[in-house]
This record gives sequence, C-alpha cells and structure tokens, in this order.
Amino acid sequence: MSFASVHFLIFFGIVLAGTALIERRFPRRVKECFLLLASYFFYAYWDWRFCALLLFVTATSYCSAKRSESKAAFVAGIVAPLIVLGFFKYFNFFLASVAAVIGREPGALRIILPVGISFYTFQALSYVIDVRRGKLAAEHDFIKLALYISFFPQLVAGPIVRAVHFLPQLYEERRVTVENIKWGIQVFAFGLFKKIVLADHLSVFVDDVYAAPPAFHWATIVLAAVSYSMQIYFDFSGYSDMAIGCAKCLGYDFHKNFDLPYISQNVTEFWRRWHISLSGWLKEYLYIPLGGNRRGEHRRYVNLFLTMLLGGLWHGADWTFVFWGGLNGLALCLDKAAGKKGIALPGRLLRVFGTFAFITFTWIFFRADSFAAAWTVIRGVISLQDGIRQPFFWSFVGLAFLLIGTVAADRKAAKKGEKVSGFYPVLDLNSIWGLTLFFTEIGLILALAYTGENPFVYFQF
Amino acid sequence: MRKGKITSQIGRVILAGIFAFLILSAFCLFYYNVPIHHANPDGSTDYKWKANDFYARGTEGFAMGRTNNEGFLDAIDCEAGMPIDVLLMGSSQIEGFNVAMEDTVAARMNDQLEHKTVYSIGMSEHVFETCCCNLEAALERYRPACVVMETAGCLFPDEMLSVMAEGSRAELSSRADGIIGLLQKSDYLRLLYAQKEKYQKAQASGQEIDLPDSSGDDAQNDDILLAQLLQKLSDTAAAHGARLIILYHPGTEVQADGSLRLTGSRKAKEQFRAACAEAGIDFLDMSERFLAEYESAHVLPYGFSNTPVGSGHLNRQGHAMIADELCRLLAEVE
Repeated sequence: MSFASVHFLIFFGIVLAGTALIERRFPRRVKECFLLLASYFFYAYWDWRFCALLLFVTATSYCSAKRSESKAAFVAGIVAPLIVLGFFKYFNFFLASVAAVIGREPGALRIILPVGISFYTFQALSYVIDVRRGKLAAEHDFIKLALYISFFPQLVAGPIVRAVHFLPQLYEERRVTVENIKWGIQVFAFGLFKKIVLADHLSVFVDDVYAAPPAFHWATIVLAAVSYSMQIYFDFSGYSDMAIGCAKCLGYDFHKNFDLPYISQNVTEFWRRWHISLSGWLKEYLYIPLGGNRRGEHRRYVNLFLTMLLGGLWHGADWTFVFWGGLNGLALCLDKAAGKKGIALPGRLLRVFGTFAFITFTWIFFRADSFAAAWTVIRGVISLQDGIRQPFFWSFVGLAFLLIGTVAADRKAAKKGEKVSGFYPVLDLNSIWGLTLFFTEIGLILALAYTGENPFVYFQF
Repeated sequence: MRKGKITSQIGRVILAGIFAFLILSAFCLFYYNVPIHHANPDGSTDYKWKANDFYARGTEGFAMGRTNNEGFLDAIDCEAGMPIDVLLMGSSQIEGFNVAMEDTVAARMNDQLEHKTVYSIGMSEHVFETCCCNLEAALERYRPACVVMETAGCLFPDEMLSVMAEGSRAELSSRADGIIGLLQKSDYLRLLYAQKEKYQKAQASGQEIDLPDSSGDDAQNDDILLAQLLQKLSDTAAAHGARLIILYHPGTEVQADGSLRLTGSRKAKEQFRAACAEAGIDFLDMSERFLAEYESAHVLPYGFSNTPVGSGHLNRQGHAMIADELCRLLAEVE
C-alpha cells in the first residue's frame, strides 16, 4: 500500500478517524493497540508472511534491551536483526560475488526482499545500542516498542526514527487535533506533489534514457542525469514529507529528513542535508564506534570511507551501490583534508554547482543496473555522442521548482538572519485564501499527476 | 454561538472551493481546453468538434488553435461546393491535435501542393475500422479526387475485418447530451476524467501511454476477409471517381543498443501491401522513411518533450514525413 494510492488514503482516513474516536473514549493503551494493529495491517498488505519477521526483530530487540547489562544479550540483539537483513537482502549478492571470484556459475535462492527491512532493522539496532549506552531506559512495555518499530508512517521507507525521539512521545498526551491535521495534511500534500507530479514524470524520461543510452545525444544524457538527481530527491523527500505529515495528523512528530540538499557547497554539507536520519544513524552507530576522528587523521579517513562504503551497501545489494558509497566516502575524505571550509572553489554559486555536478555524477552509479550500463552513460557524454535530442519538459519544471524553493528559503533565512534551511509551505487554513490555495494545490495534484505505475525509489532498499 | 462558527467555517470552505475551481479552470483554459464532440449528421465521421472553437492542449505536446467552420482541425474552412483534391481520413494521429495547426499533414500538403486543396477530417478514435465504415459517406459529402485512409496497423482480427467489410459496427458516441455533456463544459472536470481514464488504463497495462502494436512478426490476416474488405473499399472509391491511398505508419521502439525497431507484424504488412495492389489501392508505407530519418538525423516520428521518448501521437516531424511522402506519391501517380 503506497502512500500515493487511493487504498492508502482510505486506510489512513479510517485510522485517523478511529484514533480520534478511541483517544476520546478509551485509555491510551487502546489507542496504542489500535495503531499497532493498523501498522501490522499496513505491512501485511504487501505480504502478510513478513509480519512474523517484523515481530521477530521486535521481540529480539525487546529481550536484548531488557538484559542490556549482559554482553551476550546485547550481541544477540545486534546480531539477530543483522542476520535477518543479511539473509533477505545480501545472501544472493554474497553468493554471486563469491561465484564471480572463484569463476563459477552463480546459484541463487528465491528470496523475496521484505519491504522496509533496511529501515526497521536499523531502528531496532539503534534502540538496542542506545539502551546499552544508557541513553535510554529499556522499554518494558512490549506494545510501545512494537509500535515504535512498526509505526506505519515510517515503516517501509523511513525516516529512520530513533527510539530516544519517538518512545517518549508515547508517554505524552499526543492527540489528533484540528491543528495537527491542518499542518499534517498540508505537509502530506506537499510530499504527494513532489512524488506523483514531479518525481514520477521525471522517471519517465530517466527510464527511457537509461534503457538505451547509446540512442541519445550527449546533452540529453546530461539532462537525464540531472533529472535523476531531481527525481530521487523529489521521490524520497516527498515520501518523507508524507510520513511526517501522516505522523503529525496522528499527533506524533518526526524530524526533518531533507534540508535543501542541492544547495550544499561541499559533499560534507550535502550529507548533513540529505537523508538526515540515515546520515545521523551512520555517524552515531558506525562512524563513532569505529573510532570517528579520535584515533588520528589517517584512521579518521579510513573510518569515513568505510562508513560511506557500508552506507552504499545499505542502499542496495550490488557493487554499483558500494562504488557509489565509496565515491562519496572519497569526496568526504578530500573535503575533510582540504580543511574546514571544504574544497576551495571560488564563489558560493560555483561551489554549489560543483557539489551538485559531483553528486549527479555519483547518482549515475546509483541508478545504472551495472558498471557497464553506468559506463555507457558516461561514455555517451565524454564522446559528445550524437543521438535523439529530448529537452524534457518536466526536467525544466523540476529545476524551476527547486530554484523557487531555494530562493524562498534563502529570502526567509536572510530576513531572520539564519542559515538557509528548508521549510514547509504551510498555509493558514482558517482564512479563505489559505484554503483556496490549498484546494488549488490538491486540484493541481489530481490534474498533473503521472498516472502510470511507479513505486517509490526507496522501497527497494 | 458554536453553530454559527461551524456555519461560517462551512461557508469559508465552500467559497474557497469555488475560488479554487475558478483558478483551476483558468489554468485549464491553456492547458487542457478541448472542444466537445457533436454527432456528425453527414456520417463522414461519427462525430466532430464544436465549430470555430478555441482549443489548447499541454498534456501531450503543446498546441492551441481554433477548429474550422465544420469542427475539424484544418487551417482552411470548407465552404459549400469547394473542390477538394485530397481528403485525409483517420484518427487523432492524422488529425494532429498535439501539434500546431500549420504543422499537420494537411497544412503541410497544402503548402507543398500549390494548386491542390487538401482537407483533413481526421478525428480522435476514428481508427481504420471506423474510417472504412464512414468511407462512402465521406466520399459522398466531399467528392475528392483522392482519399487517404490512415492506419497504424496492418493486422486485424477476423471479426473486425468482417465488421469493416459489412459496415456493421456500433457508432462512436459523442456524449454531448445529458449530464455528461454538461460536465464536459468544464475543462478541469474533463482533465480529471482524462486522468481517471489514463489511470485505469495504466492499472491494466502498467503504462501511461499506449504502446504501439506489439503483435509478433509472423502474424497474418485472413486472406479472404482482407481481400473482400480491400476490394469493397476500392469499389466504393471508384464509384465516386476517387483514387484510394492507404497510409500505414508503424509504431517505433528505441532499442537498448540505440537502433530503432518498427513494431507490428512484417508478414501482415506484406500481405496487406499485396492485397492492396490486387485491389488497385495505393499502399503508402512509412517504415523506410521513419528508419531513414532516424539513421540520418536521430529524428523520431512520435512523441513530445513532455511524453516518453518516441511514444504516443505523431509529432511535428512525423507529420512532415507523412506529408512529404504523400506529396511524393501523388506526384508519382500524376
């Protein structure tokens, strides 16, 4: 059940109404059980068999955290989700890689990748580690922990919500209110626009070019690469917005997951603004345990590189993802080596452009099905290949949208004298003009939406 | 007090809804402003657009203009008794709703053929099957020296061949009356309806735009039924003193290695060509021209800057290629 589907809207309407009704008449416990059941129903809609997997990850985390003083229990709490993740996501990749090394035909098991597995296993891991570190008391209420791990707005594609942030909210008086709904549905609609109007239209062009790179003119290939940068941003940030909006309607808060990443002036800044919940997770639970920057300059670079390499692998079980992570890791190391101000390109605009160009280049490996396919794309540009010219309309709409959003954020920040930061265009729905603009936005989404099938990019992770 | 607050809130919502609807309608004026179909009493087409009406379309290509005095997308009006040298019949492909009026096949042919009048009665959904059934009425109405019938495929099920030969198909409905007709007056509602139709189609096929005919390379028509149909068409044209040309434009698919593949059954095309020759019909096949243009200039006959590459309707270049080939054929014939 995708957020951008009629089924989800019906499901969410029922859950919202049910939650509002329950919290006014019954104790909080009933509401938690209702939301937990709704979340499992949401997950079962894809494949009910994987609910058992979700329950298993929850149960192991629960038991491990309760005995967090025992090293064995802690290790079990870490290893269990990793085994689940390793088997379902990386087993065939491992077999294929070994077969390639020893020169044999790769065998493969028919393993279905459970949707959202990378997200909920990371949430479970962060909970177990935080309890062990003493940042959080072990949760004695299984229902609450299960709700934290399976809460449907963030279950299948993030953001990766930390237990320290979410579990306390379950002890607070969080309610479905008119104000929450007003804010939440606007953020949801904003995300929906980014997904089904911008990202999905862009995907049509990107898919065409990546399916047959030798057919296209080099400038069209460049436009397709830039379009993919926009597609993945609109797709994933749109999903995050929808998740944030849904949670808010139900009375819960998630942190921002994207913060205008393409205005970054270097790769370090980019990773502070892109998929913030994952970057934060990798820093907290991988980079710092590896030693961070505490063991000297050289070790710091190695840790940084390793973290990004594994971050790449987290995205997908393929060497192209590992390479993509490696490229980003390398850029981060260079960035750090060049000093606090980053690699010294003159002028803010040039730095932004340079960073965007580099990130767009790395996305080629992220999007291509293989190194050979990525090379075909790159070769097409380097050789100034002739071919079909397609000045795709939606690419320019996407660029205009990015530009307008950035200028608006820049002006807002300049007025307040703050750092440039993304914001949601939330209107005052008590005024006629606010309502008019909101209805117009909904009307435009319906009118301009791409109507073909196009799942969220991050569902595959 | 509370009741008054709720009433005022409902009033605000209704008012905002009306304002939003007006804004969206203004947007559609230039993005999706499609005239309404009306039944065509002379039978040359099942329906036609409202006459002298402004239209604009941005969903597939970008085009705007005005329908002519009869409700067709022609740059010229059709006055009573006006001699027509070439009559174009076909679907939305030949109609050219997605390109500028001066770029359609008819307009380009009128430019190229100085002393001849080319008139298009191409109309959406009027595929080959419909045109076969409308041929006699069209010849009766316009009395052209030459009639061109467009088709995007050469392979037809037996049942359809029989229906075309007998002229017994159900007419396309204009839906200009009743509640549907009333709703059609709002461009925004029509756009929503079009979105719904596309969504349902995509749910069934997984694609937003129809893919070209993907029948196998070996599939063929029933020989006898095809011969009967084409003979009937040829006889009908001859009875009205008109030369008949069947224009075939195959679908195209860009391949992973960068080459262009033509869709449709090659055997069916050759069978169709032979049957046309047998019946005394000129068969104009665009296959070679499409391939040659792609080889030399990487130009595709279908698709726009806001659609998948090479899919959907004929674009400006596609119309130009067809106009060129038709003019060349007419010159050869003369």
